Amino acid sequence: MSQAKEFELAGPPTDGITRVAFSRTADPLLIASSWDRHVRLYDVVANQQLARFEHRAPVLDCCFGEDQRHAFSGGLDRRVRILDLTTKDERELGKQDDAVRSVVYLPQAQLLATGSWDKTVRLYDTRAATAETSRTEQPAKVFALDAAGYTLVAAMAERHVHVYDVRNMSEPMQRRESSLKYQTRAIACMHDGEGYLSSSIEGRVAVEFFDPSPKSQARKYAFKCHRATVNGVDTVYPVNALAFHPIHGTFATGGGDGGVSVWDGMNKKRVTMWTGYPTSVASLAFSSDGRHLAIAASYTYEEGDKDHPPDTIFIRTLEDSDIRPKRPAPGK
Amino acid sequence: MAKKKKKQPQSKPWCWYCEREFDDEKVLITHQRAKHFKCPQCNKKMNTTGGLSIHYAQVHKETLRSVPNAIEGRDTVDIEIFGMEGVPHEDLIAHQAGYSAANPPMPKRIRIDPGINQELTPEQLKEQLARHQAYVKGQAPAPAPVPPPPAPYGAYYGAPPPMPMGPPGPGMPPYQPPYHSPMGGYPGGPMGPPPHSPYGYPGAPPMHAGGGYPPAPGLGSGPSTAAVSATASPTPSAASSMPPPSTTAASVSASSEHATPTLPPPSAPRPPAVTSVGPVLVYDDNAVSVEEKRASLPQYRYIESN
Repeated sequence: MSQAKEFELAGPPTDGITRVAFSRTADPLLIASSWDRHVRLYDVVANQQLARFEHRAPVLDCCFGEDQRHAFSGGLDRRVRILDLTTKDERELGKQDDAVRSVVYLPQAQLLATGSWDKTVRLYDTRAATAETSRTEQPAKVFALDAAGYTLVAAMAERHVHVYDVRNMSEPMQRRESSLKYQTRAIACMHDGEGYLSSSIEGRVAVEFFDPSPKSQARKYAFKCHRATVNGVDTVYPVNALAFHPIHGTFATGGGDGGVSVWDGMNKKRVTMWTGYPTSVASLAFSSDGRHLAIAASYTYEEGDKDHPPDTIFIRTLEDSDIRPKRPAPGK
Repeated sequence: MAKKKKKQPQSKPWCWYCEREFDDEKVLITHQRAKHFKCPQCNKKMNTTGGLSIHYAQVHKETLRSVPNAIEGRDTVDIEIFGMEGVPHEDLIAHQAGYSAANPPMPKRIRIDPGINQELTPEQLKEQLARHQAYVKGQAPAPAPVPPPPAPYGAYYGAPPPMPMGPPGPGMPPYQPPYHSPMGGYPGGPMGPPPHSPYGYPGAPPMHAGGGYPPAPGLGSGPSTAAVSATASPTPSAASSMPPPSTTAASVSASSEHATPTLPPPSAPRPPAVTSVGPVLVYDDNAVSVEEKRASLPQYRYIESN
């Protein structure tokens, strides 16, 4: 790892990082939520912490809203909050019946979706009188959520996966069972809306497509990653983080092995691999111009309460060769 | 005549395909990858001819008939050679003969420890050497009929290619198959157990509908694709000294008569997945997420106050 390509963000969270997210602006801002009960805002270019929002309990997820001025957060305190990043104000959008595990903003629909351990997926509209506009019961606790366009994918305990069109939340568009045999860890939707990735605690990532036609379904596949042989034992790490590159459509995976890999899903090739982060990679985010990758190296408790390196956020400046598919996708 | 180092007894490592000598086996392997195991069409470097020919067949839909840049007679794709592993015995001896002839101080060390060299008696060796020298001069009709040494030969396509370093361990970065063959190794990849379950994990609950993924075609480098073809035909070496495939792959499943915990001989050159312990999940609680567990710790517990 060359030093010039990567630097550590100053003033990192002081406990497990749950999410890093970039704003969609040219000079990227970064927000990070943490088990230390804070959401922090960073100026990545100046490497400076700009703001800090204290919550009552650990924050499990955060995301940017419409623009760089607003962010949303959810966590163990069951509250869904909107954070005004310029005035440093915050407002409660709603209270749920258990921890809010995931928040994801859908710019097209101008809605916030949350997934919670209270077994619901809810939509919030900041412009409405009562922000919570829909509540959909789920068969199990929601563990991961992501969206592209109007399509929302919720992954739950017991390997449930529901695909929704947020314009009609009464019925899931598709009810699926995860193709991976183990607990789902993360979900990431392709930016072109064709499909999504899911990862599991058992070092595996599945590439799936929404189109139910057999031809489309034949394209789905899964692959193993984030595994190592430690003292002669094949050790399998959870894949904690998934992130699609906004331009090239390649994607990055981060695992409990402290490694990040960039994959070319269409050609089924690994493009790059960076190993040796001090501890588990908890979250990954590409900046909207695709030039930076934020890597949250932060122990994710997969081995219980143990001593672990301090939590850090690395910002890596990407070369074209790090993220570009080696050859054009087949059929394009 | 104390026992000498294994393999490459007296000469420097040399490349079977082009008879070139190297100071270091590492350099030899690099050379082979660059010269002989490189796909002529897309320049992808494979680890073995098996990997190359499978790559060629799957990616370019053509059959590879000869190893690139090999000297005549040495361009067969049927012999798996990796560094000095797998070099036909006769050629090894012939090379040494040539080598020692050219290097007078060496000749007395030409004797090869029979124990190391696959149970050939000295007589057989001498006979073989004589026959082969004759053959090299073009006087004998055919190469030695002696059965090939089992170890290197066991590794035709059916098995992972011979790896001089043994199973991928912490100490072998360059050829670590799981990382080296990105994504390609999906069904029954190099580290994976036999591919009879869709996800390659025996002993786990059966897959549900929609779970089976087809093997991804046209992928990966040598090791992984070699493993793919292992699904089609049983490994020829199964009959050799190696334990049955089910045990090598740490399978806990079906074939109960083979499911004895017999470990392969410690010296077995058979690479990955030989460990009797299956893959170990760092986090294996399928029902409860790490965040839920962490949230229950006293320092994080949230008590609703209002």
